[in-house]
Amino acid sequence: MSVALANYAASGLGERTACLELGGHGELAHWKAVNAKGYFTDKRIHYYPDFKKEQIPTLMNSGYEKIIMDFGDAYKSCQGELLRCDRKIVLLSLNSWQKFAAEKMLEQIQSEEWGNAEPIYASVHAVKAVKRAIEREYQILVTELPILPDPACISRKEFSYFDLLLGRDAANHKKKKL
Amino acid sequence: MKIQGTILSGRYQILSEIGRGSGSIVYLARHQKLEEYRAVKCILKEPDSIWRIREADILNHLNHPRIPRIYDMEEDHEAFYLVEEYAEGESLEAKMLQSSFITLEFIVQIIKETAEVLHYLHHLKPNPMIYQDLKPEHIIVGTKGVKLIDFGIALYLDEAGNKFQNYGTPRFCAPEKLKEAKISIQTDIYSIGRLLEELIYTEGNDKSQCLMHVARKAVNADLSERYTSVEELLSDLTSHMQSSQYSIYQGHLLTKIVAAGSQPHIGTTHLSVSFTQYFNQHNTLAVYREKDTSNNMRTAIKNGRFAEDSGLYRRNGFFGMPDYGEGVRADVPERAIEISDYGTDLDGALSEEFDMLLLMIGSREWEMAYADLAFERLKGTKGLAIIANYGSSRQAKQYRKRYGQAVYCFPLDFNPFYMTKEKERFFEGLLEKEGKQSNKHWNCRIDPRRWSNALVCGVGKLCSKRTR
Repeated sequence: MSVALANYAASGLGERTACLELGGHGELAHWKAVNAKGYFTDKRIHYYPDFKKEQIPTLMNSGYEKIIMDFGDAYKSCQGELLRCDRKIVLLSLNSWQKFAAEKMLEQIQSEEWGNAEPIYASVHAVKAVKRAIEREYQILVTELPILPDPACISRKEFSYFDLLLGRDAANHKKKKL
Repeated sequence: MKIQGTILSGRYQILSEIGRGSGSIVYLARHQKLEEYRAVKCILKEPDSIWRIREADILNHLNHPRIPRIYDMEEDHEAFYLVEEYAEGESLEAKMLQSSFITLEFIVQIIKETAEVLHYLHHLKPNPMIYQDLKPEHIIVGTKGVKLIDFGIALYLDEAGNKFQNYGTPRFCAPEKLKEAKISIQTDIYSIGRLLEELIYTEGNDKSQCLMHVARKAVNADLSERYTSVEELLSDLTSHMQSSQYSIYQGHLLTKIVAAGSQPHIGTTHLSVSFTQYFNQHNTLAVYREKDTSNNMRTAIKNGRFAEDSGLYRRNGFFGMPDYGEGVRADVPERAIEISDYGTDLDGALSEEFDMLLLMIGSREWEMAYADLAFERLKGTKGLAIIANYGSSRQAKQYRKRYGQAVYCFPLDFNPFYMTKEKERFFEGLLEKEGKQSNKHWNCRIDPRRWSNALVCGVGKLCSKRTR
């Protein structure tokens, strides 16, 4: 999802985009080798594998228009950074065998103090009954996302989902009403 | 009375208010088990409310995809609740406020779909139905087209005929009401004519003004002069759209046009946008694609009044796409003509497959060297059409002699989004001469010889005005 969001921001919106891997899994490092500045470039996006949260403030002053931070399942250790983000997207796996993980995460989120910040809950491959049960139990709305065959090649039909996740639909709506 | 947040009949969770009329409020509700949205019309109990709930009975007898279905009816001590299908979308009234949505195609589509509903109502057996309250706020424009809502004052026409009642919005009501004459299906035809008129005024374009004669006939106060059926109105509208004035070609083979300029700031984008606008105003979908690195289109999107639909930006009749990167796959809609603007990137333009390559060259003396270089680069390219800017026909002639091939003269112009007569003539001529296929059907209104004379005259006049 982070790769897809970054591709939409960079190629769809033409914004200078960075994608940070903060989950500590180091998956991006297997993709391409980084340069001296600690990133590699793919389709106009600067990917920062295995990024340290202490480096975020410096990066925020590097002229990027969009910074996608992928906290993975380690969001707890980066909660401060997460709460500072303009958009907070919680991706849930909503099928019968992963429902427990979604419930655990939601319980944790709802027990924490997030101020007035309301995350956007989203899911790909959601089983309808599970989605419905989760929405009812936790009083949340889960946005169903389309299956992306290639996160590095977003089709025009999918733009609206990314606009929703990035909060662009609200901005557009305002613009249209000018 | 506030019912937001409550649960109606143990099934419908009332979410928010979505509309309000005289004596009724419409709420958005969600069916708790089916997880589907419904519109709940709450009619307050007043002396005449029994008459108002006849809408439920009417809807119950109607079955048309463009009319919302009724699912349920409830009542309590305060009000009646009609549970209807939720027509997702935006009202035509709201669309009309964002004038960028209103194009000639949009107008025709709305009128056709609305007329489809009226045709259904007017042909109901045993008695036809008159809707009586046609106006933009009762037309919901969604992804699957139009839905007509609010049948509060619709009525069956009995054999004896009904007297006109003083209902409906005065602006859309037929003049018969002043005479208290009998109502007929022509009453609805008047309203659709008024709707067409309003859409034409909102669009504000010369092209749609040509549909005005259809609207005028529909709103004629004299019943004998007004259309007698919706079919008649539709057939007039369709034949008008198919007339030569709107249809520039049929069975066309030209699908990809590429534009490039010999140097920056000589009007390549202006030409490409104008050409896109020309096609769209002639009822042929064309999409402008920014392929240079200037990012002008993106800047315009950020600053201008474009409406977006899945990555396709619209402004009046114009459709465009910014330069999307490799990370997205943004194809132009099927059967649309693609006009790619490569700025000064001649190699980029040549790397594409195209049916027509437009080379824009400057007409000033100091721009000729760049023009020569660009011509040398593209010389012999199949489908090449050279266009000189600034309306300088004299310079175009000089280029023609120099290059040994036709050089067209793009008229002096200020607004690429606005189609002038000079530009109309220019594009008609260009397509006639460079339309590529021998079996092309570019339907030009004027003889090419007349066109070239008219163009030279037109340009001559412009030039003389400027030098004066």
